[in-house]
Amino acid sequence: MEQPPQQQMTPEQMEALKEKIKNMSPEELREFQKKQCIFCHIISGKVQAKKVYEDSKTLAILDINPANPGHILLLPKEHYAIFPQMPDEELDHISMVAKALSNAVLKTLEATGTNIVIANGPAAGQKAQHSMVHIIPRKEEDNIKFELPQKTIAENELETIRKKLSERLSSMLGKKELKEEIREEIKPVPIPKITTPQNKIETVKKIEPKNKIAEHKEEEKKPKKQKETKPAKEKKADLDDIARVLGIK
Amino acid sequence: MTEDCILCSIIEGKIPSKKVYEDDDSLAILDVNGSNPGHCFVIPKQHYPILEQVPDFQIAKLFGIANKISTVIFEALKAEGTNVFVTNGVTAGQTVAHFMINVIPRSSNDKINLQWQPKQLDEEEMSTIELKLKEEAKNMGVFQTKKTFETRTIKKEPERISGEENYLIKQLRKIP
Repeated sequence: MEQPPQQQMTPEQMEALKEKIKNMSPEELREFQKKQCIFCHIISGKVQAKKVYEDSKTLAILDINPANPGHILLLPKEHYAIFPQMPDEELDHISMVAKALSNAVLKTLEATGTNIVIANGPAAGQKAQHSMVHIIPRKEEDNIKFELPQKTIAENELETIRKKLSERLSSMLGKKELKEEIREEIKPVPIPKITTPQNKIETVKKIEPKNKIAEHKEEEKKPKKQKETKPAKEKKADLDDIARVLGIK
Repeated sequence: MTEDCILCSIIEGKIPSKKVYEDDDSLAILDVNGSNPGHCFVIPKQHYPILEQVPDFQIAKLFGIANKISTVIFEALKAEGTNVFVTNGVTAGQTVAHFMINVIPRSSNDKINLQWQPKQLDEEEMSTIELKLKEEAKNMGVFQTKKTFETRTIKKEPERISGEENYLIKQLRKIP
């Protein structure tokens, strides 16, 4: 069985390779990347993996270095280095598969949430040259700490960016460029953020009582169901519950 | 639309926002306190708290828009990278009860951390998970790709099924 090349290279070989890559056409580069790509080898069956779902366009495998048990890598069968290279139809399909896999994770692995993560480029944390969707099951206190700090962005900078993005998006997606909303008295309201370690405690505090209310309500409806006596492991995540906890204000 | 949802208020125009894209059922806005300048949210206009409640075709569309925003961020903002990020459920860090896709421009040393420490699992545990997910995934593969309402400029052919039904009904009527 053919194995992907993994031998160490001398500095001279590295330099020669870099030069070779530099002079490649985009097509040649993609072919070159395909040959080097471990995920392409998994897709072709040369390398073993724990496959959980497969169709004509995508393959989903378990990550061998998971953020949490059940961490899925959803791969397009075609090699694309980053998602912007992917044709629309394939992206449509892969996103629907991602949704279904997130659903499967919530149903079977007693997870109470999922993260869908796509990284385009090493600066975004991309490690493999094959674009992929990460589906990460989440539980309370699972020791995953994503940090998305809030930055204060000046109004004029925001407007410059908005113009740049909306101009190009409208030409890409075929819609008219949106006009700036002029309402000077009211400033845009910051949207509550993704939990960072600092404000996590706050969020948990806010949510706990609501959680209890939700459970109490359920107990009233179904007095037979003894939620508290059930061991945590048997508790299956219910989509409605996950949504309900969020929905209560 | 729910009254106390901040995103629904933005969609209705009660709260101003920096819109970068809008159509009949989707909206993309700039986060005024983004993690980096150019941080966008892509949201469905219909109120769905979590991913699983959003219809398949709409998910496809929203991710399609998110991917286009990624492309534009690379081109127009000269970003070194982009993250497309979804927090689904409170434990995943979701704080607004309205499904959204974050698109975040990235540069090295931008203080954003979307990395994780790998957990060590033994072979048995991995295999159990594999089997469970495989079993559940057997039900997958049928996607709701049809839009029940016209959303994009792409025109769909008139539905065949309804034509056939009419034809059958006509046939039935002919039968004495």
